[in-house]
Amino acid sequence: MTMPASETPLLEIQGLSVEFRARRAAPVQAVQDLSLTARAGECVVVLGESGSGKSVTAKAVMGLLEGNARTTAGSIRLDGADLLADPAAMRAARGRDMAMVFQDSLSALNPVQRVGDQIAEMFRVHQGLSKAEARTRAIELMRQVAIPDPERRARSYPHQISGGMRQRIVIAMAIALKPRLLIADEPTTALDVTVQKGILDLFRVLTEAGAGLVFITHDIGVAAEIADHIVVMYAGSVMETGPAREVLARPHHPYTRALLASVPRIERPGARTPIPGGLPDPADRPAGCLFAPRCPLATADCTATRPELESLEPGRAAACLRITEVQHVLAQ
Amino acid sequence: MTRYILLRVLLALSVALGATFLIFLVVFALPGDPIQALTGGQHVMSASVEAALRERYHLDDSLPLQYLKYMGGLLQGDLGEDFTGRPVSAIIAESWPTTAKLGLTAFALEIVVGIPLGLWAGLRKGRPVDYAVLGGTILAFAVPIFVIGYTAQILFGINLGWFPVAGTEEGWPTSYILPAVVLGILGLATTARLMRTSLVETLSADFIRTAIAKGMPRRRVIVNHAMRNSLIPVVTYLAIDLGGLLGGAVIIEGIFNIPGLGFQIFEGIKQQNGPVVVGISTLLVLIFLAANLVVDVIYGVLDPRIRYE
Amino acid sequence: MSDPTVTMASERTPEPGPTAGAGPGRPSRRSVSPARQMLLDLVTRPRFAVPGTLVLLLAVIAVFPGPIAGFFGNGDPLACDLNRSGLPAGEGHPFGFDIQGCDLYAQVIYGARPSITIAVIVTVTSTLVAMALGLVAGYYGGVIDTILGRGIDLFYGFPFMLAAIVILTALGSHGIWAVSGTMAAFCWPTMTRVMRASVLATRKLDYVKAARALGASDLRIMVRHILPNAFAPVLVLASLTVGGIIAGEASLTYLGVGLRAPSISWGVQLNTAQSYFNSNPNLLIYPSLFLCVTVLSFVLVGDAVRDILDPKSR
Repeated sequence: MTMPASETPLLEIQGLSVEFRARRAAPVQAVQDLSLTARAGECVVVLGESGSGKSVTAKAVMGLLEGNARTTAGSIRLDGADLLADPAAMRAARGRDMAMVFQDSLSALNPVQRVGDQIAEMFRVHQGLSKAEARTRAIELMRQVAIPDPERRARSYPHQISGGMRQRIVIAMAIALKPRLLIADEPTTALDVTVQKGILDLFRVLTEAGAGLVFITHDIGVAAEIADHIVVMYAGSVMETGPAREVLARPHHPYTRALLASVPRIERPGARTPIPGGLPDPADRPAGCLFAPRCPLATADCTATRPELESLEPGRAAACLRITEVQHVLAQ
Repeated sequence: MTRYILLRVLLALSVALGATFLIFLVVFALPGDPIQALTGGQHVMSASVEAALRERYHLDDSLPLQYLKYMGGLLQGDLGEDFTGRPVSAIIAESWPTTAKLGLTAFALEIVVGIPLGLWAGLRKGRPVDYAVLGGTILAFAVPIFVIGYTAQILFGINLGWFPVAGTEEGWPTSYILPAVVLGILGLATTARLMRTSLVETLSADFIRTAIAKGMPRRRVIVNHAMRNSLIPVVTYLAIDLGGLLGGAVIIEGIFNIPGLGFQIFEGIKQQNGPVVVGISTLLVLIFLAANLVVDVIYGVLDPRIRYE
Repeated sequence: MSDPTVTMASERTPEPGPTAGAGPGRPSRRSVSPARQMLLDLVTRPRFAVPGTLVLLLAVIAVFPGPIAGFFGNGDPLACDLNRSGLPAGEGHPFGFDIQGCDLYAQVIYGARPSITIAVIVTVTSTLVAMALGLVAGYYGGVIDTILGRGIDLFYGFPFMLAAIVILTALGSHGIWAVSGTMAAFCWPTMTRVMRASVLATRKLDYVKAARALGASDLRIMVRHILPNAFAPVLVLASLTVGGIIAGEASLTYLGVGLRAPSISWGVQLNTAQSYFNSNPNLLIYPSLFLCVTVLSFVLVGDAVRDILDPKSR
C-alpha cells in the first residue's frame, strides 16, 4: 500500500484470537492470530469457506460474539481506540462509528415493528430526534438506498417485502448515522444474482463516499467485483492478503490457488478442480500448517511447523513455508 | 384485519355449534336412558317427575329436533331447571360474581407475579434464580391442585391461622386470597415459565443482535425489542387461562367451599343433579370458546405475521 | 386445574443446557452410533437418572404390588378391621390405618397400580391414534386433513377438566376403561397436531420424493420413510404428558367422577381423607406424597427426554 506508515488506519485488528467454550469439551479455536487493516474509502474482502472464522471475526469487531465465545488475545482498534480493552468505547462506537449489515435480512429485522420505525429508531435514540423528524429522515434514507415508494414501504412489516428490499432496509439502518466503518457479513448470499448486483453497487457508492468497508463473503465472484484488498482466511487464520486484483490474478498461497481453481469458469469449461478433503476439526487443529493435510505441495516440514504470514512484495503477504517453490512453479 | 377477525368468529361459531352438539349427544343420545344419565340413576323418581323431565328435554321428539329445541332454549338463556324447579340460569346469576372475584384475583396474581418472575429468570439464564424458578414451576406442575389446596388450608388456615380455612363469609379479599393463590399457582407457574423460555428464545434472535449492533442501549434492547416479541405467547396463554378462570374452578371452589360456578358443578355431581351440570358446562364451554376467540384477535394484533396471512 | 394440554403447549424451549456456538460445533464423538449416544446421554444425566429410577421403581410396584405391600408383614390392603379405624402407625403398620381400618401402607402401595395403568393406557392409545391420524392427514392432506383439523378444533373447544367431568358423569361408569377412554379422548388432538406438522415437514424431504418417484406404495412410504423420521416430537409430547395424566386421573377420582371405592387408588384415598384431614392428617399426607413423587418423576423424565430428543436443546 502506498499510505504513509504513520497514518492511523480506520480499523486495525492485531493478533486476534477467538475461542468457543463448550461445557463438556475442550475450547475450540475459531480465530487464531488474525490481523487485518481497513482504511477509509476502501473495501477489504474477507474471503473464505464457511467455518473459516470470517463471521466470527466480524462479530468480534462489533462486540456481538455469543456468550460462549471469548476473545483470548489481540486488539481491535477503531481510529486508534482499542475496543476490546474498553467496552464503553465499543458500546459508544456501535451504530454511530461502525455498523453491520447481516446476511439474513428477514431474521435480522424485528418481525413486529414496521421497517420505517426500525430505521427511525437510529435517529430517535442516537440523535434524540422527534418521532416526526426521525420518520422523515428514515424515508429520506430509504430513498437513498433506492427503495421505491418509501413512504408506503416504511409502513410495511419485514415479512411483507422482498429479500432485496429488506437487505436495503438493513443497509439503510446501518448507514443512518454515516458510520465510518461498515461491516457486511455475506450481505448478498441470500439474494439472487440480479438483486445481488444492485446491493453491491450500493456498497460501492458508500465506499466512494468515504466509508471503510469490511466485506465478508465466500463468493470469489462477489469478491472480484467489490474488493480493493483481499484477506483469505482458512480454518480461523489468514493464509494470504494483498490487493484484490493481484491476489486473484496471481495467487501465492496454495490454498488461494486451490480455492480459485475450484470455481467453475465460463472460459474454462470442465476445468473445475475441487479441493480434496475438508476443513480441519476445530477442536483438533494440525500443529503445522493448517492447510497441510489438503495441500498438494505439503512436505513433512509443513505438518510440523506453523508458517507465519510473511511479506513477499509490497502490500502482499502469505503464510506458507514453501512459498518460494510455489512462486517458482507459478513462474513456469 | 377485519377479514381475519371475521374468519375467526365464523370458526368459533362452528366449533361452538359442534361443542354444544357434543354435550347434547353425550347426555341425551348415548345408549341408555337419558333420564338416568341426567339423574345418575340414583333418584327414585315418580312417574310425574319423569314425565316432566321428558317434556322438559323434548325426549319424545326425534334426535335432531331435540337438539334444535335445546339450542333454541339455550339462545333464549334457558338452561333448564334443577330437580327442585330452580332455573339453572338463576343459579348461574347467583354464583357468577363469586367466581369472577376469585378468578380475577388469581388472574391478577398470575400477571403481577408470573411475568416478572419469568423475566427475572430469563434475564439470568443459567444462574441460581433461573434454576429456582424452573424448580418451582416443575413442582407446581407436578403437585396436583387439590393436594396444594389441602396443604394450604392446613398450613395457612389451621396451623398459622392467617386466612379463613373455607367459605366466603369474610368477603373479598380476606376470604379469597388463599383460594386465589392456590387457583392461580398453576397458571402462575405456566406464565413464568412461558415468559422465561420466550424471553430466552427472543434474546438469542438475530434481530436482537441487530438492535445491539445499532447501538441501542441494553434497556431499550430488552424492553422495546425483546419484551414485545416474547410477550406474544404469554399474552395468548393468559387470555386462554382467563377464560378457564372465569369458568369457575371445580376443585378449588369445592375444597374451599366457595359458592361459585365450579362449586355448583361440584355439588351438582355429588347430588347427581344432571340439569345443573349440563347447563353450567354448556355456558362454560361457550365462555371458553369466547376466550379462545379473544386470543386469536389479540394474537393478530400483536403479531403482524399472523394478521396478514 | 390440571389441564395436561395447557401444560404441554407451553413446553417449547429447552432448559439452559450446553449451547454450541454458531461457529465451530462441539467435537464429535464418532465411535458411538447417534442413537446409542443419545441413550447414553440420557441415562448418565442425573436429571434423568434420579426420576428415571423412581419411575422404574413405581413400575415394579404397579406390576408386583403384593410382595412390596407385604414388606412389613401386612400386605393385604383389604384386610380391614373397623376396630382399628384411624389408628396411628404401629408395629408392622408403618403408615397406620385408614378410616375403614385397613393398613394404609398396603393401600398406598396398591394405589400405584390404577394410576400407572391408566397413564400407560391413555398415553399409548392416544400416541398410536395420533401417529396414525397425523400420518394420514399430513401425508394425504386435502379433505381428510380438513375434516380431521375441524374435529380437533372441536376437542380444543372444551376445557379438559370440565369435559371429562361431564362425560364421566353421563357415562355413569367409573372403571379404569371409562376413565382412560375419557382422558385419551382429550389427549390425542394435541398429539395429532404435532404429528401432522412433523409429517408435513418430512413429506417435503427429497428422499421421500425419491421413494415416490421409484414407485413405492403410499403405505410403504408412510411407514418406512416418513414415520421413522417424524415420530420424535410426538414421543417427546407423550413423555411430557404422562405426569399430567396421573395428576388428572387423581383429580377426577378425587372429585368423585373417576375411579370409586372399592377400587384402591390414591384419588379414592384422598377423596375419603378430605373429611378427616383435621383428625387424621396421615390419610392425606401419605397418598399425596406418593402421588406427588410419581407425577414429579414422570414430569422430570419427560423433561429429560425432551432435552435429548429436541434438537434445539442439543
